[in-house]
Amino acid sequence: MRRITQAAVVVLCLACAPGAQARVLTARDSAVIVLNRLAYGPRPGEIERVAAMGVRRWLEQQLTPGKDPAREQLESQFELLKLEREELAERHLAARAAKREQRRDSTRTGDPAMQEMRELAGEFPQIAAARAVVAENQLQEILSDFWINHFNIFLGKNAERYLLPSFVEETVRPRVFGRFEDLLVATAESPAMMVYLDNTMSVAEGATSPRLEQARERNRRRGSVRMDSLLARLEARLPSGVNENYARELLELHTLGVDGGYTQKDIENAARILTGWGVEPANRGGGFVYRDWAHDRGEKTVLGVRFPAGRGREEGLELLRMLARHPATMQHVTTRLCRKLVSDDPPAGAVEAGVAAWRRSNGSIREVVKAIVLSPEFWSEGASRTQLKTPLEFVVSSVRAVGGSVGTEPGLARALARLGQPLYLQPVPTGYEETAEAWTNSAALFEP
Amino acid sequence: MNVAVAIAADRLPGVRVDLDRVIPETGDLNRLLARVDEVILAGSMSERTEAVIRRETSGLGAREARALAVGLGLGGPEFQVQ
Repeated sequence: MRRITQAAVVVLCLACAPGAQARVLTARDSAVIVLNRLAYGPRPGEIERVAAMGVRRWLEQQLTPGKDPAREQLESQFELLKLEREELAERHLAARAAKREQRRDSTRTGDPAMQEMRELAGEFPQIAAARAVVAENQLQEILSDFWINHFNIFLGKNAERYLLPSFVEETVRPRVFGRFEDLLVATAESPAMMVYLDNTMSVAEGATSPRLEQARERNRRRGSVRMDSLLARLEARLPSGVNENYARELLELHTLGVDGGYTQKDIENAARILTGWGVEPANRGGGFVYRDWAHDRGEKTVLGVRFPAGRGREEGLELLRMLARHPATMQHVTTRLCRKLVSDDPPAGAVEAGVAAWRRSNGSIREVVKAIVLSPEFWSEGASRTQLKTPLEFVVSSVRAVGGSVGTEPGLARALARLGQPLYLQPVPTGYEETAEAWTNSAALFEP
Repeated sequence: MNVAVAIAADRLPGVRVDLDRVIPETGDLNRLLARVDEVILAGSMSERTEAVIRRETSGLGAREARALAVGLGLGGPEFQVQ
């Protein structure tokens, strides 16, 4: 990593770009700023510790996080983090079977499979909030929250109870400082995203599963009327046609932004390019799968770029990489990052610095964040203490401020739900709002 | 505000808080206010928040006053912005 130079720190403290009000910050002032905006607030004594070590050194440590024993010790207490997606899918199926049994026989209660799944589901939001309290690598937690919200998925939908944990742990968290392009591709290839935005239901017009074709063929030979009827019912439940939900959010929310210059036709063609990207059923582990039979092999054009006929999964990867490198994506995503890290009204200079870093580094999130933090606007009077904390930020920073400790008992998660931000339960793909306006009038912070 | 006061009073399930380690009990309200301002609000306590804490803690014992002062500090406007 390029080291942050001494000169840069002097600049960030003393100089200002046009529009940013000049001010001189002490080491303590700078520590307060970074601990509030790049961390979940200071713990007792932490302002003095960061001021003494220097904000520059703290920032370098946060941008290249090492081992985090406090977080690892906490994580070791959660059963959910010991399970692979496939194991969670098995437990989900067992709980579902137990629930069916219970519906048939109401005297059966307290099934251990159902109980276990409920407890695991209860751990999930607590893990995020508790990590935010204890982690030394605070910026990693801030960015994890940012990207999980950017690529929001609703835990309450279909199979997400067993898919979403691996989305958080394996798809997003390892990539929060990596290249945006890699993060985008990983989210597109995640079963949780394919289910949440219905891409697993998206098939080329007229495409039929080979298994269904084989079953039909077998039945044609047998001539069973009952089987005919069963197959017709099955067919009615199977996906038919292109589903645009994922492609729409991919362009509008994940990459280009609503003003990113795309058309409805671009959405339709992006959706055709991504046909066949789906998910295996729970009894086969619920992993990502590309179904070639479901893919639309015709020619498509997106944002003026031609995708020739006859291609398969690779054109989806090409589309994702093209979107990740698009100037509108750089602008949209950097603006959102600035809204999270700097101000509800992102200063143009900070956004420009982030976009320039994106271009220089081929979309390295680490470099983009560093450029935003080193921009004079990050330190300006105008950006100071202008952001209202979200309920997550408020609760976590409160516990940190009094030096509180946390464990697996889901108290934090329940408090957040009462304050209007139940984690992973925002149904709409936009995720939770980050701005003060969104929270000021809610029940959240001023809960009676 | 309820959550803030519950945290300060060590009453939020799943969260353990030992205020003795960060803000010692004291019968001196000025010292308590100074410590809450330093530890919780990084020196940003407004006159209004100070007045609210003075009013609400009036007549309370040292332990109760400390928990309430910390809760009001956390629930006040200075702590809720970043």
